[in-house]
Amino acid sequence: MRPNRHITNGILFLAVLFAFTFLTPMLSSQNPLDIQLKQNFQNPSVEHPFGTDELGRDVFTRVLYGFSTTIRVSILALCASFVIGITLGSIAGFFYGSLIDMTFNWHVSLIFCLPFLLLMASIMSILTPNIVNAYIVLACVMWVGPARIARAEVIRTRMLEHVLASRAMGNPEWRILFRDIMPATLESSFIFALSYFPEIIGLEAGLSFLGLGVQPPDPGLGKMIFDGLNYIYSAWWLAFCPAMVLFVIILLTNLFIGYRGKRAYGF
Amino acid sequence: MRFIHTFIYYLSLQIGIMLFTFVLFHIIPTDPARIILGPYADETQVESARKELGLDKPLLVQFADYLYGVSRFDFGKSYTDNRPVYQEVCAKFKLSLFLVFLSLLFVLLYCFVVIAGDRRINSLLKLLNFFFVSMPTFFSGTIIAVLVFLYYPFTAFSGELESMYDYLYMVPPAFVLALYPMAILARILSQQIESISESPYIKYVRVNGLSEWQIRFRHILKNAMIPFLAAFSNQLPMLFTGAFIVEIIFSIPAIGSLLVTSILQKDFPMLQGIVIVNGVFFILINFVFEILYPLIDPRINSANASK
Repeated sequence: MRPNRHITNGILFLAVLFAFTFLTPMLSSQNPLDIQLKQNFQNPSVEHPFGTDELGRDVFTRVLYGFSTTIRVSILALCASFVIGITLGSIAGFFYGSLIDMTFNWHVSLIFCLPFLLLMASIMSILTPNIVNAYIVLACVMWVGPARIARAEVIRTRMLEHVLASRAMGNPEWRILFRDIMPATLESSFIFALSYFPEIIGLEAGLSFLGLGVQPPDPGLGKMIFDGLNYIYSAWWLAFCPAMVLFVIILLTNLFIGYRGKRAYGF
Repeated sequence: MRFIHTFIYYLSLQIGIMLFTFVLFHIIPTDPARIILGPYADETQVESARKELGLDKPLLVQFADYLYGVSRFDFGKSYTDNRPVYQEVCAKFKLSLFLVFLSLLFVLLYCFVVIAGDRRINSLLKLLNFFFVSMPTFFSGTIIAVLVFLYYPFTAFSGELESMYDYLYMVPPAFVLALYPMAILARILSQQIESISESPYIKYVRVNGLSEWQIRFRHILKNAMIPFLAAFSNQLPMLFTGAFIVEIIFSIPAIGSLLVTSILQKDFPMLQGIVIVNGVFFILINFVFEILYPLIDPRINSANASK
């Protein structure tokens, strides 16, 4: 199979980003939790590139740590939701029109009926809010996108000749599904899953913004923005810097993967 | 026949939402009676509070009670201050709805520019779209919040939509909210217009001497409408997700702020009310869209009938 440019680009980009999260904490020599009350609300300077917050902690260091948490969680959630989505989606597509397919469709429409953030927030509210639970909830909700695409692709593929040939050779049904049908659907559902990456980052930040992601004192980008809003008119850098980092990540992601791949496949 | 089928399907989704919230907020590890009374109440008090809330009944009876209550728009009372949930959520939801409605006006305006604009404007808009798509609400929100504070004259908000000032206050947040959906929708629209402009029937219409205006708004738009509306109905929940965040950034006391406080206070009836009201709203919207599609494009119905 000839490697697809969008897929190799995407995987490379995610791998570099993931590796980068292990380097970022080294970029700053300071401790993100180090409180120095004498140095609170300092303007951005050479010593503190993004200034300091209300407790005198270095915002730059905190943003770096928050960035690596966000990226790690988002990439893991992307992989998990892709695996869950493609498995469930192909099973539903394989049994097209049966009760399994109908149940699948019903659940997917149910999840799409609510704003994702509200759905996640309501599930998170009964769990202990921490980053592991946030990751689980993200993976449990975001699978619907790739699953829909995988289902549509399987429905399209399952009537093709090579599937019929495989069936004529007497292969068991599960083998037909996993060996003959699924590989053909991987490409477009992976592209679609990649194009969801900015949204996953946004939702992770949104959960953290609502106080359901990383718990204080550990830094999370969304939480930092939420706290910074209290001081937005006096210390603009508190909310602006983490928000800008989010913007840059999403811009880069769209530049390298989401936007072009999505356009090439017409999603 | 198709109408009834669609209706039953959406009704079942409705019941699904009810079931989801019921299960979600009745398997909570904490005792609601404890949340209301606080950690220092003694056992007998907690026991009587449980009886009052109906928590001592079997789960099925509780679910029946709950469905009965919901059908009469009675979602119970808030744990923290005994407000009736339905009224509270509806009042806040109206505010969110107005914000979303206002941002939809921005979206429509932008789409109008896309349809009417010539090639040069559209290539500029494509670049803009790329930035708007990449801009998280947090980023545009914080920038515009600061700009509003510095330069915008209407910064007083009473908390409800009463005077002209309150309406004017909502304009910048609505603009922030509109950025993402308008970029997505404009992209889809311009793709559609590009591909439809190539088709023979448009060439025919053009040869017949219709004005460019008539061609775009009468002939191209009709065929571009279905993908646009499908994307639009997909964007709507996303718009509300953005609205929660924008409301918090601009401190508008609507659903977003209510969500945050009720999560912090573990106010489960309120959360349940928020989820149900949102769910009902979106299911209704989806239902309306599903009915609208064949009316706009009759080919959809005939395609279904022949299947």
